[in-house]
Amino acid sequence: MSEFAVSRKTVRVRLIIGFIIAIIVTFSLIGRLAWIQIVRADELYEQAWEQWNHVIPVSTGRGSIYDHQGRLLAGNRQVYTVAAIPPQVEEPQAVAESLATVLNMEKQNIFDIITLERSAVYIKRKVEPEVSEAIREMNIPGIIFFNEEKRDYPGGDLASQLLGFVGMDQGWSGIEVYYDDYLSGSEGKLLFPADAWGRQVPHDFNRTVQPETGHDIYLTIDETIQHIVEKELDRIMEEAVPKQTLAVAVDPKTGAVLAAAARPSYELLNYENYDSELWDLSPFTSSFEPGSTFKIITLAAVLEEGLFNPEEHYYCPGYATVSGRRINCWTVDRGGHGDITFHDSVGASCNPAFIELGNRIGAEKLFEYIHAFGFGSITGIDYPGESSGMVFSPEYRGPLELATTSFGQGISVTPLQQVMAIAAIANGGYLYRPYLVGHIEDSDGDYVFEHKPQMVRQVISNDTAEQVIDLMESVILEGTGSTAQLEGYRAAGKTGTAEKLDENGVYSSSDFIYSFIGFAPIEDPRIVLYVAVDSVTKGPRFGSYTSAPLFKTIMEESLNYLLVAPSELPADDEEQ
Amino acid sequence: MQQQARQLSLSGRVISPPSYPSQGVAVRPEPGRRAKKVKLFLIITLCFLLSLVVVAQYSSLVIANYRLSSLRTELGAIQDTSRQLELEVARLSAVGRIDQIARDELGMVDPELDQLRIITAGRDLGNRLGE
Repeated sequence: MSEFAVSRKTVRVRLIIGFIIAIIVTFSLIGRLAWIQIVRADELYEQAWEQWNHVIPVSTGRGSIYDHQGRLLAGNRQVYTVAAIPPQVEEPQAVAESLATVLNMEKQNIFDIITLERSAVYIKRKVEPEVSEAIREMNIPGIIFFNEEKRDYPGGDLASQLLGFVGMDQGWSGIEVYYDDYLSGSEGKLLFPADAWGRQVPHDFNRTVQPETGHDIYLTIDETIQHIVEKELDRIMEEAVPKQTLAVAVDPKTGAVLAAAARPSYELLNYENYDSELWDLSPFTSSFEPGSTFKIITLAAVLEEGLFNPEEHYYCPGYATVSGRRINCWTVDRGGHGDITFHDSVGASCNPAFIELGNRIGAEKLFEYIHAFGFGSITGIDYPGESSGMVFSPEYRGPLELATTSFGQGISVTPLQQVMAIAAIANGGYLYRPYLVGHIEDSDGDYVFEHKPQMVRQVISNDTAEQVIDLMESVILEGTGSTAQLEGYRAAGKTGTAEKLDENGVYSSSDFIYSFIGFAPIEDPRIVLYVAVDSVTKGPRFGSYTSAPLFKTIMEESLNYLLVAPSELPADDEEQ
Repeated sequence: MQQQARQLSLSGRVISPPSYPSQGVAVRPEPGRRAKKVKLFLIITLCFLLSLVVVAQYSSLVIANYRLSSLRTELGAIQDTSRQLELEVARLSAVGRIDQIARDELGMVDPELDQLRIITAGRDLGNRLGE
């Protein structure tokens, strides 16, 4: 027997030990495999996925904006973003040189971008299709493209301040920023597998996770009325060359804004070339002294309190003296209105008569009505940066403040506040909250938001509203607003000439804001319209030549467009 | 010589060792053993067929996914085109553009007051016309 010979028993023991070791190793491997493949599978897959795939975010498809009839005001068009995968760019210097001219960028700038130590970088976003096509034809390795969308406005700059503009990916002003959460969808992704050096794996495919389009917004604005308003504002800018002019129109029964614009304005696609003050819609964001249009509020208050007798006489000497200060009527140069009834004082817009009415109701009560009509606080319109205006707080309401407030000086209100207050009179006494967005739809056409008319409060009774309307009609028929008389429609309105403070803080005797506020037709008011022309520099400087005709033209064209039947005129008028 | 069968005892169970036929005698496999083989064959075949079905299912799923993906891409392209067309329609039918063409290209002007006849049709007339 050999000395190396081992017994069968030893062999068997060794085999068993070997077998046990093999079993342990095998089960350890199985356990490890299960640990990796089952327990940590998700986590490791995620890590591996991030290593394999490179991601370039793709901006969202922004929701469109329509008018209340579904006419497109702001949509999107296809543009392209030029990006680079730096590890794949073979000759960065030459590539930078080639792209610089086409992309209108500095060569060094492009070189710096495409040599960054990143898996993917943007070179230039949202370039026009012809630019991207020119680069595609160069067939440069490492330069990739993907689709994006850019705002486009089929109506040009119509309603520019109202719509607002969009920066690279999000709204910056107007409706675009106020409803940005609804308009912006979810971000998409461009995915491509790459090796350890970031080079795109050949024969594999790119995958695009499509961005989810944002919701579509349907405004209460009517494109045609908006166009009429802007056309007329442009005309007055050309004819009277004022510092600015503005208009806002609402539906008195709901508070829905039908049109709102101001001039000067800005170009939506060149917003960066304009003063940022022009980006805002001044009828909502700016406040100024209203002037005589505010007399309607005083009138409504004294009528509601039973302190107004239209047949009562008042003597206007052309001024009133309050707390030792002389406050002039606009007729001071011709000795005032003289003997006048309170009924006629409305049509004649007599300041001293309204100072008297203000005294009768008193500061506390008058300011109660002023606040009830919505002045001194924001209306809550769905537009960013709304101004609340300024009215006197209780501690500052002396006799002088009461007097000036009674005829619309010394306080500051927005055109929107005024138009909503007059809408409350037009609809029988109910103050509504104004709104710009009617409803919002998702991509399936389902409503995700709907604006229902929201009544804030009843301010005056129906009877009082009717009396105010009668007096406002007299302003147009026989008072200062005669040039606002509409062809075929009965209208109610009030002129306003607000004095402006000069640089020394003194009321200017030559610089005015001419305004007009009113509604039509009286029997079933469809539109309440406020117009203002600030600092006319050319032609006649009277409200009757500027703001009143502006009101007339906009209102007539709008009512004709809405196919509103002409008013039924009294028999004697018809015969004439 | 007939070999005496040796009995092995394992775990108390008695197993008879296989008996070998003598030379020249045709031996037929035991019926139980053949049945087992058939059963095993059938099970393997069934498993194979089942795996084929599973693979086929996965395959059709992948194909369906691929088709879905291309249809989605196609849908996206159609929606893009639709949006571009909507934009173009809106651009062509914009009120401002029509107004401008009417004035600048067609020479149209707003009517003068004497060219207008406002018909103040009362409610009665409206009702009569309605009849």
